[in-house]
Amino acid sequence: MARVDIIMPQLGESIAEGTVVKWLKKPGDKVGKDESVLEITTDKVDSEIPSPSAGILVEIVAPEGTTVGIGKPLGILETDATAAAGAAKSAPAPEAAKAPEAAKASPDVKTPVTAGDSVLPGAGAPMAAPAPPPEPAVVAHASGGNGGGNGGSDRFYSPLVKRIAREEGIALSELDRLAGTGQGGRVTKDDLLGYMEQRKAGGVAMPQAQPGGMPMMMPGQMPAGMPMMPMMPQFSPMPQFMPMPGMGAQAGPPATPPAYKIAREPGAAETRIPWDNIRKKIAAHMVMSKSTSPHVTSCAEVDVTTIVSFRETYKDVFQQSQGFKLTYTPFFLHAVTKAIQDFPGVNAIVDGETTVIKHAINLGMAVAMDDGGLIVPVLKHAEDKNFVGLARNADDLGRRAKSKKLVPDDISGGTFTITNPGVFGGLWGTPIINQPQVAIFGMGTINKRVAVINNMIAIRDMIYVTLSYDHRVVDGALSHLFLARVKWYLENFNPMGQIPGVI
Amino acid sequence: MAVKTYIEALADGLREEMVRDKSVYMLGEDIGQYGGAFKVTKGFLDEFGPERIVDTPLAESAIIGVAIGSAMMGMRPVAEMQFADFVACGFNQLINNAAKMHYRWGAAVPMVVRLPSGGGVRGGPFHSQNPEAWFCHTPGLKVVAPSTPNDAKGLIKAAIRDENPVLYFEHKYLYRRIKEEVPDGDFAIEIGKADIKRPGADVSIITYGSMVHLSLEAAKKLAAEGIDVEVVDLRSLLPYDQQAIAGTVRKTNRAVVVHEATRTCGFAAEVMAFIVEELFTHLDAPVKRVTSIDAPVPYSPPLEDFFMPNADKIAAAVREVAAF
Repeated sequence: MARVDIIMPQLGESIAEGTVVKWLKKPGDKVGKDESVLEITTDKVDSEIPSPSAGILVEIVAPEGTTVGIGKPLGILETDATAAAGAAKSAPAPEAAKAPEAAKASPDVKTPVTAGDSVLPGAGAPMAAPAPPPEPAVVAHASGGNGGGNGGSDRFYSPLVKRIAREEGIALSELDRLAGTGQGGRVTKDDLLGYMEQRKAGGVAMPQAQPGGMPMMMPGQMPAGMPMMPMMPQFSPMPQFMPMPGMGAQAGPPATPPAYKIAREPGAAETRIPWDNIRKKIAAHMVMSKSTSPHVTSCAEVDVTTIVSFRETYKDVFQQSQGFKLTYTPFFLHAVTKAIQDFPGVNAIVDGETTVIKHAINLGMAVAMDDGGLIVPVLKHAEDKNFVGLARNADDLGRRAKSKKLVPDDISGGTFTITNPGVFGGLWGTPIINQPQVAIFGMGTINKRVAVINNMIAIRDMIYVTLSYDHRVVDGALSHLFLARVKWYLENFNPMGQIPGVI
Repeated sequence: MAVKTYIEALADGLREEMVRDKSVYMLGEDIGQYGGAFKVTKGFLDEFGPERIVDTPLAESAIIGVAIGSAMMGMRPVAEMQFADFVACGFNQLINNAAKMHYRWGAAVPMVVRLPSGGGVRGGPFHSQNPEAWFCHTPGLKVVAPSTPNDAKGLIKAAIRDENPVLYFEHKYLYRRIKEEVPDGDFAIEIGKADIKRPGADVSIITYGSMVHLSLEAAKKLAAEGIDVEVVDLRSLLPYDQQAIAGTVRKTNRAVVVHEATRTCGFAAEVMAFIVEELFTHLDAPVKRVTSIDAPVPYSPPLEDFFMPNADKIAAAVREVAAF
C-alpha cells in the first residue's frame, strides 16, 4: 500500500505559496499519471497540477480556497488500486469552499499587470482580431494526426476522408467506429459517404457542418509563364473557408471581444461581478504602482508612412519566407530597443532607494486575452535580436499568450513594457507603469493625417507614441529625448539587410 | 471526313499551314528528296519547291539556329529532328537562344521543332528516347505531345501559329498504328488544353503521347473488373492543364500518372507535385506513377519490353490505387 503526496509545486522563482481553486477529482476517483487533479492560483499564474503517479485520490488535504506553501501536501494518492474502495470512504468529502467564481473557468497562465487602460492584443499575433470561431472538435483531432493519426486515434484517414468529416461535422470518435473496406480496414471515401447516407436515412440529426480548418485549396500555382500569346489555363482558386483574422488593422476600431459582453439576467437592475483572484491582483498592483510612482506621460507624433507602405509591400513575401505575419509590432520593438540602447536610463527598476539600470533589454508586451484578461509576456534580450528575430519572438509570445501556453518564465524578468491602446482605436493613452519598472511605452492608432512637409501639405500615416515614466528616477528631458530617438528610428527605418528576401 | 493515320493527319496539318501562310517553311535532314526518315513530308518538295522545303546538313544546332534566325526575321520555320534524341545537339540554341529571346528583348520566335520520339520500335538507346522533360523545365518554350490523328493535326496547326518556340513531340510508334476519322479542313487545338479520352468514376489516369493508348487498353481490362477508369490526355505539357487535372482528381480522388519517359524527374513528378500541393484534401489514396525504368532504352527486344510501361503494368498500378 503506497501513499504518495500531491505537493504544491514551485511555479515561479519568487512564488512562495498558492491557493487551491478547484479540485478536479473527488476522493475515490481514479487518476492517471500526469492527469490534472486540481487547479491552483498564485499571484503570477493559474495552473493545473498533474498527478505524480497513477492511482486513486484518497484524501484532499487542502480544500478549495485554502492557501498552501510550496512543497506542502495538497492531497494524498493511493497507488495500490486494491485499497481504493475502503480508503475512499474514510477520506473527507471535498470542502465546498467558495472559490472565486471566474477562477474556475481559467486554469491557465494569466497574470495581473499594470498596463492600465491600454493593452496590446496579441503582440505578434493578429491584431484586433475578433476571437476565431471555435473549431469543431473533429478538426482538432482529424488534422492533428497526419498519416499516423493522433488525438486519440491511431487509425489512418486519407486527406479526403478527413476533409469530408470536417465539412460534415463528423467527429473523429465517430469515424473511429466506422468499418472500412480499404486496405487494412481503412475508411475510404465510399465508406464514409455510405455511412452518411445511412445516418441520414436513419433520421439521425447530423451535426451542422462548420466552417474553419484548412483552406480547401490555394490559388493555382502556374507553370512558367509564356512570354506572349498566353493560352495557359487559369487554375481558378477555390473559395477559402479559413477565417482570416484582420491583420495589423490599427486603423479602424476593432470588434469588441465577445468576452467583454456582460450577460444580463432578466429583471436584474445590475450585474455584480465579484473579483476573482486575478482581478484582485490587478487592482492591488494598479493602486500600488500609482501610489509608488509619480506618473508623468510624454507624447510624440511619428510619421510612419514608410513603415506602413513597407509592410504593405512586403507582408506577403515576409509571410512566405518567415512563416508568420508581419505586424507593426516588430517595427516598434526594433525602434524602442535601439532607443533604449541610446538612453538606458528608462530600462531600469527601483530597488528601495536605488535605481538599477538593467543591461538586458527585456520587453514586456501587454496582450489582451479574448476572455477579457490581460497578460504581459516578456521578450528577452531584445538587444541581441535583429528585426526578424524580434518579430518571430513577439509572434511566438503573442500566439502562446492567446492560446494560454505561456510558462512562468515567459512572464517574468521584464525591464520595460510596451502597450498598444491603438489597436482598439485609441489615439493614445497614459498607461500605468509595470512595477518595479520605471517606464512604459504606448502606441496609439495609426491614422492618415494632413502633415506639412517641405512647406507642402501631404497626407501621411501618423501615430502618437507615449512614454509614461516614474518621475522619481526619470527626468522629463530623458523621456523626451528617448521618445525623439524612437521617432527618429521609426521614421528612418531602413529595411536593408533586416529581412531576408527584401533588397 | 476520312479515316487517317496519325502520320497522314500530321502531314495534312503541315501541308494546310504551308498553303495558308507563305511564311511557313520546313527544314531538316532528308525531308525533301527523301521525304523524311518517316515520310512525313513525302511529296512536299514537289508541291512547295526547294525554297520552302530545305534539306540541311547533319547538324541539329545549325537547323535550330537557322530556324531561330529566320523566325526572328518574320518566317515561321518548322524544323524536323530526324529523331528526338538528336535534339540534344541543338540544346543550347533552344534553351539559351529560342527560349530567352522574348524575355531578353521582346523578340518573337514563332518556330516549331518536330521531334519523332519514343520507344517500342526496337530503336535502341539513341533512337527511342522521350526527352520532353528537359524542355518542360525551360520557361519560354511550349511543349506538346499529341496522341491521336485529330490532336496531331490540330496541335501542329496551333504550334505553327503560336508566337513562341513550340516543341512538338510526335510518337513514332503511333505514326501508322493509330487511325481515326479526321474532319477535313482547318481546325486548331488550343495549346494547354487536356482532353478526357475516356470518362470514368473510380480512378484517373493522367497521361499523354503513346501511353494514352496503353492506358485506354488498361481501362478496358479494368472495366471488366468493375474499376471505372478516367483517362485524361494532357496533350500539352508546357503549359499543362491544371484545371483538367483538378477536375478529374476532385471527381475520382485517386490518380495514376503514366508516361513512357524514364522515371526520375519525369513529367509525372510535376503532375504529382501539383496534385499534392493543390489537391491534397481531395486524395483518398496515394498517387502512383507508371513510367519506364531509370535506364537507357535497351536495344534487346525482351529488355525493351521489360523497360517500358505496358497495359498490364498500368492496370496493376490502378488496381493498387483503387484497392487502397
